[in-house]
Amino acid sequence: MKRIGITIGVGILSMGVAACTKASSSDKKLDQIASDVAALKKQLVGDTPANAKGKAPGAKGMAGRLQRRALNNNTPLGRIERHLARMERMIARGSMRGGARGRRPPRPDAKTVYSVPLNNSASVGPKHALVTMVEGFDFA
Amino acid sequence: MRVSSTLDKIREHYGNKVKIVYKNYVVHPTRATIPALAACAADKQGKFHDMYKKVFAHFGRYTQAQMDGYAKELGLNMGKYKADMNGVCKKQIRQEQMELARVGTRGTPAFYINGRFLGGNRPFPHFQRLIDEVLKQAEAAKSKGMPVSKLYDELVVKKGKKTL
Repeated sequence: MKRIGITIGVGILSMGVAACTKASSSDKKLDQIASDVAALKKQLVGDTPANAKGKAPGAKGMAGRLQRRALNNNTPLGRIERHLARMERMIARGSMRGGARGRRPPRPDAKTVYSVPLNNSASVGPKHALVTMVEGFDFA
Repeated sequence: MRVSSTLDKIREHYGNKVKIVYKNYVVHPTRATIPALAACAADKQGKFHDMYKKVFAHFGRYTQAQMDGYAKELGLNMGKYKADMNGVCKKQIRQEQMELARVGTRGTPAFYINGRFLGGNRPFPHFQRLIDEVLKQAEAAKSKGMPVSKLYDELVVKKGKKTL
């Protein structure tokens, strides 16, 4: 059942990747990930009972080993699994670039007035003025 | 340094209508912490802007010895300078960083002009547009009887948004 689950999961994911790839065919990163998914799918699907028929007896054992290794996050397969999970989230957001933007912290709104206390920060100019500019700076 | 020259132009253009307040937002702590502390300590002796100019004029990897040299050149009381650098200024820099982060600062330079955000190193006309806008509002408040000494507190600190 686990193997079937993985196969279905990879199938759904690869459909999502294919759809995403259509939307932005020039995106090299997506292409690379899509090819990774295809390679993984080939590796896993190739070992389902249906496909294993007539194959060497070692095929079934390999799928089990892959599943066990997938549970361990330090293995290459574990890293691929994590990568796939990230891909799924990006696809759910709409696109690779859209997803990346979504993680950025929000910026202050240009029309809003923000309350920035002056306290005893360094200043130049008159003690009180019609306009007070606060500059956030660093020496780098 | 380029933004520093824009700020000079603003001061020249608007004169006493504009006050510039400097708050540390240390993005590169390994490089910027020592000069930030030195500039803060210089400010405690009324020499912030001189130190600020000196540090930016020798832009690079700053050392404590270099900062101490600038402090001597500016004629600072070295005992007080070192005590402030190691005491009150450390706390002040952390405080300033928190104040800016709370209202959405994520990088430098970041400006809040009467509380209105303007990010990045912009040319003078960008500042001019926003300054003229807030200046008009401040002048309207002043004409209604609000003293200039209370303008920032009333219009920005009290009415402004406290967090992003």
